[in-house]
Order: sequence, then structure tokens, then C-alpha cells
Amino acid sequence: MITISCLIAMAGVLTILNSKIKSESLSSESGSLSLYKSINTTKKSPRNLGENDTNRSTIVDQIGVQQSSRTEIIIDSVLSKDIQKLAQELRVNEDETYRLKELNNFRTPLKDILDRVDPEGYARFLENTIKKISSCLEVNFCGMEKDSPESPYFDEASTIAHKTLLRSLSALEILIEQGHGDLIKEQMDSGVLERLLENNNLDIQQKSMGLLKVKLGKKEAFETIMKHEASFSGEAKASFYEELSNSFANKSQHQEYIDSLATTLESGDPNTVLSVFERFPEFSVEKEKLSKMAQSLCRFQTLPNQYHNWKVLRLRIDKLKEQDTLDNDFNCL
Amino acid sequence: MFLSLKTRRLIAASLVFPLLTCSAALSAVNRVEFLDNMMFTINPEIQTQGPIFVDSQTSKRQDYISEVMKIILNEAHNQAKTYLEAGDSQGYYAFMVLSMTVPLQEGLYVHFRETSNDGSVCNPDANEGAILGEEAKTAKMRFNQYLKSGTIPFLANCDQVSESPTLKQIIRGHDGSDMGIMQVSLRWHYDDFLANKRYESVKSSVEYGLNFIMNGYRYIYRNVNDYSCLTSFFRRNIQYENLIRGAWAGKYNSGSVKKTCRFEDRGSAYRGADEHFEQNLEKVLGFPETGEIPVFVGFDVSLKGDVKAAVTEVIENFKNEKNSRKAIEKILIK
Repeated sequence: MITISCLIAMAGVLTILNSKIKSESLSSESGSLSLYKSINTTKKSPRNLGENDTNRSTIVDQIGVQQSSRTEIIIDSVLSKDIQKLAQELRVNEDETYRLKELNNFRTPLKDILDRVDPEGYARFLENTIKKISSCLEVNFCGMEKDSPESPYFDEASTIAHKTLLRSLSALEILIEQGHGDLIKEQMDSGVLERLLENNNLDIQQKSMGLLKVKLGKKEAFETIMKHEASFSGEAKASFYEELSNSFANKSQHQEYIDSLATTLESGDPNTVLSVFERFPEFSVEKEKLSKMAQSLCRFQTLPNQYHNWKVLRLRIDKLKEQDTLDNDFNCL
Repeated sequence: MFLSLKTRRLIAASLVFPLLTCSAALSAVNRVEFLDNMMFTINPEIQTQGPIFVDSQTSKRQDYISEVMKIILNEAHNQAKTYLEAGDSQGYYAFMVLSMTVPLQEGLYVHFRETSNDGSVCNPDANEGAILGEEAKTAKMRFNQYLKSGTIPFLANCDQVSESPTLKQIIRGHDGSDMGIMQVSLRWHYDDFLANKRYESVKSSVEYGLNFIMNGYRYIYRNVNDYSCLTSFFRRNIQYENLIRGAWAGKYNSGSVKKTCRFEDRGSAYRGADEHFEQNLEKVLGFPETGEIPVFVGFDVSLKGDVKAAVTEVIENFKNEKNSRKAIEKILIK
């Protein structure tokens, strides 16, 4: 145990150390190094806070928000750097800014939001938001950036733009569940949804597939989704096969599906192969065909550094045999 | 971070000097004072779940840390048990070791702290979000939206708790934009971690962080040949310690598996962070020999019998490629 004075002394040394470290390199965001920075934290003066207020009015001016009873809420929503940028990218008006804030409040269930809006107007807002975000994500992540230039962290598949987009897609799904399918079908742009099939976020890809099926119907959705097969990998590829399962309009599409699945198992990266194989029971393919295509997995026994993956596959094969998804006499001998 | 010899000496001095000069003055301590700058103060009306680091009673630290470690091992086991079931014990134990290292690196094994209130413990700048800098506007919005609003806001107003004899706190990052034992970012994880109040529970926070890192771990482990830093020359073997370092450097600290091999880059701007993680990994791996994990000066992790045996068993299994389960099974919650 150590006394407070000792700790103060240590804090002093650590403060010197901190400044030295900072002078030699960029700072770290990691927790325990945060400890050094923590000791040295400078308290914000009221002057600093006042400067923020100046920024606040600039932001409001930039997106054209007018004074109203909702202004405080809107200001709150645009105070953040990310939402500010998103609002700029989307060129939103006052109502849309308010809705953007609502969408980003994940403590409010989507159903609660949808219960108090006009479905038609809200669907228009959602479609507009989805369209704009899908475009700007491709350009510059809709302006999303690291926390600071020194920060190591940037998840390019899960920015606030991604989360807003995903929540918008989820809201469309709920509107369909609530009986507004025709409205959504009429308003949704299939080109936008098709573009989202190439998004780097698994959940966005998954929801876009489902909505395309509503918009285009089975046959056309199958063809459209299949065209983007190369954009799916890992868990997303497994969702791809699951979503297309039972969506065949004819035998030719069924065969195309089986061929694609076989190719993936033969030549996909290990993560994709394992992810897809884990979901085998969800795919509508006959046991004999699944067993035949699963033969290609036997290569994992001998590939360099793949024995750990083979162990997982072997366990899965045994389970699938027990469930009668694979032939009982399937083996890799 | 590449430190000069002079700086390395300074580091050594910083660790040794206080110990030497203060060892004679060791006596009852009120609290670990530098943690004051790493804490938000929680509204006393909030019910938290899980162990609390009572920062004054040394005798209970072992109980606290043992309970936390038990939670970590259970959550890690839940995430990684598929590897064990498949007979890939090395993949399983590597994740278990990773899971013990990340909360040390991120939150010093502390989530909640309780300490006596001398009037200076609650930091108004922290609790009002004023420490969140200009660059952390989004985190500030999340801070207000999720931590300072509602019928019973999670964080207290310091003036309202000034008379409380004790205060309960939650660990935060230096600028307040990360929170909890896993140092989850308020900016990036508002849709689940904040929205579902996972920070109110130690178990849920650990589960969230480990689930997040497992997404990266699983991916890079499966596609191990895509990462030169994870295999030995000529790709003969998987380097499991590097797998642990890569999972943290990539997915957890950078938000991208593309940065998995960052720790090998001597010119990386984040070399310091990666070296620090390596040191923490060494601390964890050294536990069977030392019987302690030095968290910070004056706070070494010594564990109670059953948890100590389980942690030792995990590490020995990892280091020796074994799979003894006797002690581990004892602490797993069925």
C-alpha cells in the first residue's frame, strides 16, 4: 500500500514523463496510457465553452435551421461534429434535421417513432435519407472522420452515417410489417437498394436484400442480388445464401444458386467458407448436393495453417450428419 | 512509439523512485488519488450491477479483482468455447489470455469505484462533459443524450452529491470519450452500449467489449495466412501471441482488421500503444511465476485461491499448449 503523498509524487513524475512521451511521438488512445494523460488533463475554462457557443451558431447557420420551439433540440442534434457533417451532406431542412436526431436516439424504439408520424411523409424522408447517405458513403464516408487526427480508431463499416442508414432501413421494414408494403414498394428506389448491396456493412447488405425482394419480387430480386455476389464475403455471404434460399422463381435460378454455393466452398477465403458452412441447414439444397459440394472442404486438412479451421469444420460436419443435413457416410478419406 | 534511451530511463525512474522514497511512509491510504482524474461520478440513485472497487480497504482488493477476473473468464469462455468444442484449445486459450489483457490495458480492471468523499472526488468538468474537447463534439452529444438526460440521469451533478459521505464512480478515458473497464467509445458505440445502458453492469460491459474483439479475432484467425505478422517464416506456424497483439491493435484499437499487423510497424504512430499492450500481455503471461499482475504502483492483482488457480491454468495451458480444465471448470458458471 502507498500513501497519498507518494501517489502525488508519482503523479508528478508521470506528468513529466507524459510530456516527454508526447514530445517524442504521437499520443496513444489506449487505456492505461490514458492514465498518463489523465493526470495532465487541463480543465476547460468558461472561455473555451463560450467559443463552443460561437461554433454552435455557425453550425446552425450552415444548415439553415430557423429559430422555433424545437430549436434547442435541433441545436443539440447538430452540435456533434458527425451529425453536423451528415446534415450538411444530406442538405436537410428543419423537419428532417429533427427526424435525423430522432433516428439517432437509439433509446427510442423505432415503433414509437413510427406510431406518431404520417407513414407516407416519413417513408419519403427515409427514402431520401437512404439515397443521400448511400451516395455520400461511397465518396467520403459522408464526411465522417477519426475522433482526432492522432486517434488510431476509425471503423469504416460502422460510422454514424452507417448507423443512420441502417436505422432507416429498419424503419422501412417496420412500415412494411405495419401494412404499408405497397407504399414502400412504390416509393423505394431499387437502384439505391442495389447499390447498398455493395456496402461494407453486413447488416446494411442484409436489409437491402430483404427490401429488394419486396420491391422487385422473387425472380427479379434473385437476378439483381446474384449480380452482386462478389460484394459479399464472410458472414454477409452466409446471409446472401440464406436470403436467396427459397427465392428461386425457376429451376435455372436454383441451379445458379447451387453452382454459386459450390464455387464459394471451393475457392472462398477461409472466413467465408466457415461462415457459409455454419449456416448450411438454412439453405434449400438437397442433402446429396450439399454432401457433394462439402467434399471440397476436405482440403482444409492439409492446407498450411488451416488445421485450426479444419477442426471447426470437422465438428460442424459431425453435427450436420447428426441432423441429417449431410449424408451419414460423408467423409474426407 | 519509439522512445529514446533517456526517456526509457525516465520511465524506469518513474517506477522505481516513488517506491524507494515512499516505502518508508507506507500506511493506510484513503484512495488511489490519480484515479480521481479517470472517473465520472455516478448518480447515487442509479443501481449498478457487479463488483465495485472499494478504494480504501486494501484487504478487499483481492476479493474485488477476483470477482472481476471471474466475470472476464466466464464471458471469454462463452465467446470462445466453440474452439474448445472443436478441439482447438490453442485458439481458445489465446482468446482467454487476450480477454484478460484487454481490460488491464483499457481500464486497469476497474469499472466502478467507491470512495470516501472529501469534496474533491467529483470532478464537475468531467461530470458535465466539459473535458470532452472540441474534437469530441459527437461524444459530447452522446454524453448529454445518454448519460445526462432522463428521469434519473446516470451521471450525478457534483453539487448534488457534495454531502454524500461516499461516491460511486465509473472509469473513463482521459478526455471522457471512452468509458468503463473496456473503455468503450461513446462516439462509436451509442447504438447498443449506451442505448441499452450496458455500462451499468460490469458483466455486460465486459461481454460487449469481448464480443467486439471476438469479431476481429475470429476473422483474422480464420484468414490467418492473409496476415504475415501472425505466422512464422514460410507460414509454418501460427504465432498465437501475435494473434493476441494483432486482435487488439487491429479491431479493438484501430476499428479495422486491416491494421492487425500495426504492432510490427516500427514507424507506426501508435507504436507506444502497441508496446504498452505487449507489456500488459507479458504481465498477464507472467502471472503463474509471480502470482501477481502489476496493474499500477501500489495495486498488484493478487487473486483468491479458486480464481488464481483458474487464471494460472489458462496461462499454463496457453504457454504449454495443454488443456487441463480442473481449475477452470470450477469457476465457470454453468
